Amino acid sequence: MDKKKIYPWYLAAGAFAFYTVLYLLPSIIGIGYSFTDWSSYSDQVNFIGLDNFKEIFSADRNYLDYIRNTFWFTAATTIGKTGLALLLALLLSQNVKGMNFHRSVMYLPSVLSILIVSLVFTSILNPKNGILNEFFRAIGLPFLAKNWLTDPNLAMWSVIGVDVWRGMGYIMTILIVGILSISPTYYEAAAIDGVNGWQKFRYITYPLLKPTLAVTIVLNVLYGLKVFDIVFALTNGGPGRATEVMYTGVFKEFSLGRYGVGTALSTVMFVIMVMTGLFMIKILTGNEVQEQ
Amino acid sequence: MKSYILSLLLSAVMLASLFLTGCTSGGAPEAPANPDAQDTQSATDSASSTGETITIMASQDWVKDPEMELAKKFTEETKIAVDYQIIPSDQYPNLLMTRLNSGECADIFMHQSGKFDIVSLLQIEKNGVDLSGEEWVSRFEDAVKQQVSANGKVYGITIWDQSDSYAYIYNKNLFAQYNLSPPENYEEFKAVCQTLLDNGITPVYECVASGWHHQLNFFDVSAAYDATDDNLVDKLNNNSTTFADNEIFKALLDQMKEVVDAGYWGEYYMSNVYEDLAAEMASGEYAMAVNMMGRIGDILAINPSLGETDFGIFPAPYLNNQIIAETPCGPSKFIYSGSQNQELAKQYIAFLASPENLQFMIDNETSFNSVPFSGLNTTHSDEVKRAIQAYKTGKSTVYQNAVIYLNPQWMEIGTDITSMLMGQITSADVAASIDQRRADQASAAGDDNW
Amino acid sequence: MNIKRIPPFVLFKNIVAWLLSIIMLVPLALIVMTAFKSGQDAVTLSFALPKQWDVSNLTTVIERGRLYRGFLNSFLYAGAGTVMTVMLASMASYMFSRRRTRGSQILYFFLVLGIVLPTNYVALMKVMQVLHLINQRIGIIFLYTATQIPFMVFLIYGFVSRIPISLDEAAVMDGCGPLRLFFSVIFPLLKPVFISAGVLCFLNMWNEFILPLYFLNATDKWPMTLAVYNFFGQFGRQWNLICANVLLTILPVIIVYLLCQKHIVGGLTAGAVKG
Repeated sequence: MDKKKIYPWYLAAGAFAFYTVLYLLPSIIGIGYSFTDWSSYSDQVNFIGLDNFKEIFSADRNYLDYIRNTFWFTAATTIGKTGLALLLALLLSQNVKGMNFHRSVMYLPSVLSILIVSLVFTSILNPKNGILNEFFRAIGLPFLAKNWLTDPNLAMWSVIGVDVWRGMGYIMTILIVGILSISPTYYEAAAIDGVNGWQKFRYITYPLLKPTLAVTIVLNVLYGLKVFDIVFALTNGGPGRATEVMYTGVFKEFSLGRYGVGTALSTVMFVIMVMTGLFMIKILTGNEVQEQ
Repeated sequence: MKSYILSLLLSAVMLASLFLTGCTSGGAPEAPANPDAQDTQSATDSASSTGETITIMASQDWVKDPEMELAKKFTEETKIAVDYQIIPSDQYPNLLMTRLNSGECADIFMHQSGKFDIVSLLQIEKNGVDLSGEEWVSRFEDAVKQQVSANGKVYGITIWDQSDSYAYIYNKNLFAQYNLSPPENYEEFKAVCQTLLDNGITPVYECVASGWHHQLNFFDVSAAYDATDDNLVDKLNNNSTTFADNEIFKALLDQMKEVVDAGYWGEYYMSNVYEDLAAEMASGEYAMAVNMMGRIGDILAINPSLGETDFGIFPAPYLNNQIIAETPCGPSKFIYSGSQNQELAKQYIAFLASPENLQFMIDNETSFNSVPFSGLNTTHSDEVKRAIQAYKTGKSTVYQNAVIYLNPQWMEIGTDITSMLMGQITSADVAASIDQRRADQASAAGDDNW
Repeated sequence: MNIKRIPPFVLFKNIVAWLLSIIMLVPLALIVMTAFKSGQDAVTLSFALPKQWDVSNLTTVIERGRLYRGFLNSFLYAGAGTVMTVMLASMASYMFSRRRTRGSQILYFFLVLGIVLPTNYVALMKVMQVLHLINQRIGIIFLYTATQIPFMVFLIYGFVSRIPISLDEAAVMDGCGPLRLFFSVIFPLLKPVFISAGVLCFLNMWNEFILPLYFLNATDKWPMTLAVYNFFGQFGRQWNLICANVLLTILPVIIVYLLCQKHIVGGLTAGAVKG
């Protein structure tokens, strides 16, 4: 069959046009600015080559810490969300009363805007009168009542925790869809052969769920690298600079009016994300075959 | 079935939108963007207006309720609608710069005044409109006017309470209970704090989580900095000295750390927020807090059994300071040079600046006790009047307004001080980062002194 | 029902499910309770039940936040944007997933790259100016569409490639052109995907507040999400009003989600089993 005729290019033209004009083009112009001394202090925009990048990678600035924090956040949230979501998806895909209710409720946090999530959690995690610490004090474990968002050793973990809380249900929903779409005949055949639960997972569920898992992992990693609002709203990068990530750093450079350095930082981040993204898509979907 | 209904609904919405917007864009395909065409269509609220609208951009909290009432009155009198766009404060600086940069700004934009910032950051001579010829300029207080002027031309108007500087507010009852009097130097301050702490009262309510408050301790003892060298401000401004070069700045930061380490800010200062300040002060759990002098009323409003005489004022006692420095800056209005409605905007500002309406602001906005215009009745409480008499010399100006390239890094300085309080960096590091960021801004601005 | 007859593992599952659901519901409960408190009860967010249920908060925020207009704007932007995005993205993903040539793969990656592209507001502002899309409702809809397309293409692509190619072949044998093939054969099969992707897209667009700030220079075009800032003072927060506003803002998305929820999971399963 002639694929060119059945699937003509114009099917993609609309998406392509919107994306290129209103998204790609401005972003590329933006990346161009990272080679200039563009700032709010002057009308002049001069080409300065790689100076902004030299500044970012020089040791006496904090930017390398931001990159490290970003990777830490990404790894922890990806593992946390995928692991917990997989466990829950396996647990909740059958034999639970009110399944639809539970699924709706668990998806709920991702419906809320970050602004709302952060409002509620700064209140819940308040060390003095937040309900989490009051709960620990009430059950007789006062030593567990911590300065969740203001202890530099804990703040990042608290942000990660809130983010996992928020994103887990969404990942779980995708995985449940994946699990339910596995044809029951496989399990019926397995039941006849008398395999146990772990073998069922290892030899049926996992291989067939792999493409879905791959998609969720890629999504989580890219989300983690791009993270901005939840950190900004919960800790604003603090205490001190303990939770500063790349995009909060970009935001702060812009606030100081140093647009050139700000865009250079986001360009660095963009390159890191493209490399990670391509690498992961290759690794995770390399052996996927088209279902005919 | 539900999905069909939903998709039907959505398609209907989409068609409607295409129709709505199609009308204007289809009707005038060649005409340059005509934003008013749609405004009249949708602005049902202002149906009575002549179709003229002034737009105003402001950060949240900069526009008080009485001003909104005045805007309504203005619309009634002139049939000109006033559209206030209140922007989340963390988005505001970037949004304003982007709008100015691309020529899409509102008719009137608001920004903190500051004789340096309006030139270096706002490029007011290009982006602003000269208002020197307006009637109200003659009634505008000089020190405040300076901060919205460039090269002798007035570009903005500050309708904000300038007498209301930040100082220490203290609970007189608690002080009396433990035989304490307002400290007149740093040692006395520590002694007062220790006595309170020994009696189970947290001496100072400080709120680091808000991000913008705790650095007031650094900025508001400007008089003590100036006392070390009359020309310190000038030297900092022409870069012949730096923050790292002057021991006085490090001394202040070290005193702050000493106070925090001694527990005088209590256990929860890192997660406290400014919004709770009044409530915590009213509860009697805390004895002192840095706040605007005129905001004692907020505390009283929470606990009606408290009276005006229950709270007093003294200057920040670090470095033995005894002076409350001047704060001539505040949120100000500027007219955008690219606006099509400059005359209307001037008319609206003149309306707000009429003596009658300024007095209306003072009388109806609890946080305003005076505004920087002559010929008005002020509503300061007796304690504020006493504090102004006793502690205001009119000589020193707070450093964020007096020293160039300092105010734009306000939040960053707060972050550095937090790191210092946690022991991650030293006071010398804080001073060095301040200098570093000043140098960054100066080089971006092409400043010859750097 | 006799509890002894339930296998312990199933019981355990049910307990875990309830426990998690409760944890997920905590913040929402906090919002709902505070939304009905009087101003003095709501100085801080707490779990105490309102002393008396005060409905006036809702009417206050509707009036002061001008929520009716905000709601219509939000609904228009998110609704129209979602329809456009899902249509365009599914056509594109369909093409990419079927052709699998080097060229189409590159184009696919190129589109999906958008997930990680940094936005530059000044440059975007310039482009919008040139296209006369600033301060236009249609401009915001187009912008939402452009920003969501990469993610939606990525999401839908995975699902489209599961539809057996034999269906296409049969349709082509019957003489279907590309558009009829897509709209009358593929489109109905993708319905569950449309709904799940569409809900996600709608949620993202509904919660967006930065783009309208930058590109709509008139408050009567602002979406609902921005109204909450009317109640956030630097000097004191009116938690009861904030929560009332938040409640009214999230109610529509929760309703949309609940309406579509069954189709997201149920529809997909049915399709897969039959296929």
